[in-house]
Amino acid sequence: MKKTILFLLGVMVMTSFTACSPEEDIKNPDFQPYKLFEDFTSNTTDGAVINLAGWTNFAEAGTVKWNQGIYYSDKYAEFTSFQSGQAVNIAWLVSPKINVESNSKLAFDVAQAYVSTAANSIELLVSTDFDGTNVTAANWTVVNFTKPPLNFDTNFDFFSSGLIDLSTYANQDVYLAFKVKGSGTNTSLDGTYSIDNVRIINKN
Amino acid sequence: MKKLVISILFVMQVCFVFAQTGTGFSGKVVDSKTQKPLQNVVATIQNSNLTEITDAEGKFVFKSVPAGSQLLVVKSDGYKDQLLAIDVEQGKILDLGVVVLEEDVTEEQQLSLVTITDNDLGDDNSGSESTSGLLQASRDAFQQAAAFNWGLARFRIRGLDNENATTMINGVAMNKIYDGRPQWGNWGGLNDATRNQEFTMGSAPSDYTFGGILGTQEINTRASIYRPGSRVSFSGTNTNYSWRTMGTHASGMNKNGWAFVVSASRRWAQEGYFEGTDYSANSVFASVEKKINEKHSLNFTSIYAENSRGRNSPNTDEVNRIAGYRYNSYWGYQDGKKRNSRDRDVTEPILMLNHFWKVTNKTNITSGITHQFGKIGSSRIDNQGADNPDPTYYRNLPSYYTSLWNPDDYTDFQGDDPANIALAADAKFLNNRQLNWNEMYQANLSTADGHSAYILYEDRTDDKLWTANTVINSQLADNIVLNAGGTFKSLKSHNFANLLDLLGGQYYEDYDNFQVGNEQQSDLNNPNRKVGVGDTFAYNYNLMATTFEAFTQFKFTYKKVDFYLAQTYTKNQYQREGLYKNGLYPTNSFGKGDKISFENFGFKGGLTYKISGRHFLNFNGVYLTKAPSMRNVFPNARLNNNITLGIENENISSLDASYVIRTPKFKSRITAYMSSIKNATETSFFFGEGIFDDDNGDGGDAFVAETVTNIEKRNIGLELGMEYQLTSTIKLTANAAYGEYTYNNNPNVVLNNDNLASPTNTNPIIDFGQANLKGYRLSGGPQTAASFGIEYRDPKFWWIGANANYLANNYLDVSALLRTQNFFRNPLDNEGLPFPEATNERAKELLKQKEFNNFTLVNLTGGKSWKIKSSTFGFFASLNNVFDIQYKTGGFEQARNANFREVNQDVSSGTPAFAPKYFYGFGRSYFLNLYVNF
Repeated sequence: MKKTILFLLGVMVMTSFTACSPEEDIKNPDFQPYKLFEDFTSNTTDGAVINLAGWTNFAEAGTVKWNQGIYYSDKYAEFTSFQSGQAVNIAWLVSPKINVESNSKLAFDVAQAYVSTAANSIELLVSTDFDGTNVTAANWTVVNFTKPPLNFDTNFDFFSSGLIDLSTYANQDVYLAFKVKGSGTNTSLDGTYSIDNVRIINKN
Repeated sequence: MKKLVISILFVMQVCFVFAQTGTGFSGKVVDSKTQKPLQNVVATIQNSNLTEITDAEGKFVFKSVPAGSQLLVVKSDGYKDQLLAIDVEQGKILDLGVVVLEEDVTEEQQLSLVTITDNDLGDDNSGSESTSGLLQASRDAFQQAAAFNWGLARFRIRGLDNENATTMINGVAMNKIYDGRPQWGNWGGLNDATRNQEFTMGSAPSDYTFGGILGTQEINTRASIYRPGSRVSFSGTNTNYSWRTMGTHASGMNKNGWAFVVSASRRWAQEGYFEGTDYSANSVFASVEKKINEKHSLNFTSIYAENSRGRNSPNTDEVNRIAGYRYNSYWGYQDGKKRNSRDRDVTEPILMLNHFWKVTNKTNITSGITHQFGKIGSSRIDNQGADNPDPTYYRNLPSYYTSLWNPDDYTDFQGDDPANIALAADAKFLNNRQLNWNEMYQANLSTADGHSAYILYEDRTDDKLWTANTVINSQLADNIVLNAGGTFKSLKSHNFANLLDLLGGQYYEDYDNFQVGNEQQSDLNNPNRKVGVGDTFAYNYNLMATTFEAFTQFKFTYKKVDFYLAQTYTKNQYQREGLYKNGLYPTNSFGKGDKISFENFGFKGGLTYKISGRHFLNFNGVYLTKAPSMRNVFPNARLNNNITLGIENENISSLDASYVIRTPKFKSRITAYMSSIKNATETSFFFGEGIFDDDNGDGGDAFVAETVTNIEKRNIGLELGMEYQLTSTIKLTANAAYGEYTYNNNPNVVLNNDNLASPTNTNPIIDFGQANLKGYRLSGGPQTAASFGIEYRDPKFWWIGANANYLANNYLDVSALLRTQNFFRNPLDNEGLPFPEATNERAKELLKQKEFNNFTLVNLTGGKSWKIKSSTFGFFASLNNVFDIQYKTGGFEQARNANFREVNQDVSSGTPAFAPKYFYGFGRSYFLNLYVNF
């Protein structure tokens, strides 16, 4: 009799142990997947016009658009008005629609080459009312980011834009645009801009 | 005249008997086989100080015993304990008659048990070795199963590391200050001489020390307590070593008050179970006692055990598949002989002088002064500006080629390219499985200036330790016993690299070829040294420690309840003294560093409730704080004086409850326990890829020291042990252990990268934040074990036994770094953002803890003894793992792939280059011991 009690006691205690498994407590390190990640790996031909699904490549002035850039294993988006033959070149590369949350952050890599004046510019703009086709009809707001240094020593070197806070657009659908301005005829405005690794992620 | 003397004596004897007054009892102890009286048998009244020893006629008498029911324990080594319940009447000496002691077969098993030693996991060179559980078991059925049946599978009682157990010799704790573990190898090969042992489990009270949460083991070497006689044995086995001879002689106390014990043994193997593991050990023991008078006795013990063995490597599954599970990458042929590059040599003699003072009948004070010195060396090959000689270096394996990915395009798997498959088929390891000593000699002979590109050196730890201690044992009242004691230790541990063999070269240049300029120097006070055999180089420092420990304990015994309370106070002080001015840390490596002190205290208590003479309940609880070990306080001791940032005392607590049954036929114990260790620290060293930002194109790779702090471990479980004497000749045993040993929080990970050291950054640590370890199982042995055994004892003095054991829930050690945020961090991302291809689901798969396969081991044992005149001849044999099951005993994740992409790519290839490394247990193995006692 005593032995039976002992046995039952043992079983009861053991089942109480197995009921809660410690493995259920295991969590991954904190991780959020990207809301947007574009590293232009789909580029096939250096210099060909970028035609990415979901992105809009628009020439506001002149005919030069954003092109595919390929340098060895590096792939990126590139714009240059060099020898375009046009007095003014303005091109937009607009992202797909992104739903922004309160802790969303944007970062990308940006490089310049032969840019000598600020007027030969690259800007980051955000719109909440872009209809997907008409770029100039939408309202765009400039967002600051860390510009690459205008220094021939760092031609073509990628610098981080910094981590850009998008909390002002929390809970809205936005489009990002990379707008460059240059000239094919004015040699002080015919530099090259490249962008790569456009990424948006929730991060505290 | 003779007749007159004898008759007077006879009359006196009779008078003496009549004249015996007092309250107590007497008896005569005999051997059950021969019916001959036994001398030097110890009779003790339980829970008291009262002890008597049988004389040459086997007789003992107690004359001042408290009246009432007492429990008498009669024990002698080689025999089973006898427990007698006695009702003592006031004013009478009760004659118990003949007390019969039966030979204990398990004693033979204990004396034959081969020391099982773990290999150092990873590359740490700690002085002590972590052996499996207890070497020699107590009488408790569960502990016997844990030691004999499950020990080979590296089962650890309650999943606790040996630093939580206290091992003592004559009341002096032998745990190393460096890492808190006992170094059993210090008295290896002296099983006969160290056979007088007392055990306590968990936090139960010990007479000698406060202890920890994994029990205590006290080895008593006082020469007069050994039963007089001699013993010679000869053994053969195929485990760690092949042959062993041992001889022991104990004189017993002679009429001049002298007693001595000597013992010597030799163990050796050309090759043990695993390839290339040679073994050679010599041990000598001497203990001499002089009884000064009835109250004072001095005993001098000297223990010398030197042990030299070649180690075996942990291997990946790929290597074991190609080369077999006994494969060892540490050896190679030289002149037709197997030469192992990783030798471990331990020689640390112990000298101990003890004073035994019987202050009164009720109070004993034992004091001791101990000196231990010697050396521990672990050898390995160093290569400077030359290829890594390890035959299992990852580039030599087929998996290197078949796990390649395009470094410029993380989506491009190249391991299945025909070119790589062809290279894999021709991988160097396939035809060159062992170290090529010849190639190394050739490389050294062909350097332009004669320097060695390869050398053999050893990491040395030479300790000098002085211990002074005293233990008091006093019967304060009939039912109250006081134990108290204090211990003082002073250690100087000299650590350095010692060059052993130039391997054909003229000299070796002492500099670190991974650094530049002054940072290359190991000693700026002696730059650009050329060193030779016997020279110290690379690193050189002392670790000094002084510790003080005191405890008091009160034990109360009543009719229905026994209880105890104990408390302890300890103070530890550590300091490092650098003897080299290291080039990476010129301002904080040379000279004495800061002293750091830790003060700690502990409380424990418990009670035993006697339901009846045969059933009782037992409860124990303990809370103590414990100083971190020196190893964790100085995380980069070879190079600098830095102390681990924010290191604190550990908090340890434990509770256990048991129900015990002791009847003549059936003995059982069931225990539920819970223990918690907080603020623990672990350190490890490895080369990691993709840990840091890729600032200089190296992909973020570096050799780092990882320190994980604020670890909380929780061990809960059940233990069940049962022993049933089915008939007078057949005994059945059943034992089970179920445990859940887990990390109970998310500790902190800090990495030290020497490459970042600079004059402004003398502590180049980077905080990696929390590691999500909560819920992962602790590694280190099966957490579930069960055994069933049957034993037959024939009246004609032979016996056989068999047991079957099931072992399960053994888990691989997980890397803390892989479970920090760094896992997802892309080193190529300018903002440190995650890898784009990472997903939570895939991460969960990659980070899942590996569990070892469950397995069943069957063991057979047997023996027979013959008595010829006054000598006993016998043999003991055991066949372990009868069915030759191959099983892994432990292992670790290689932390080289330190982030999601590296791990994902490696694993996705199907043939990972940095898979975990494993140790295996012995396959079918035997042990045969022939002995003669005379």
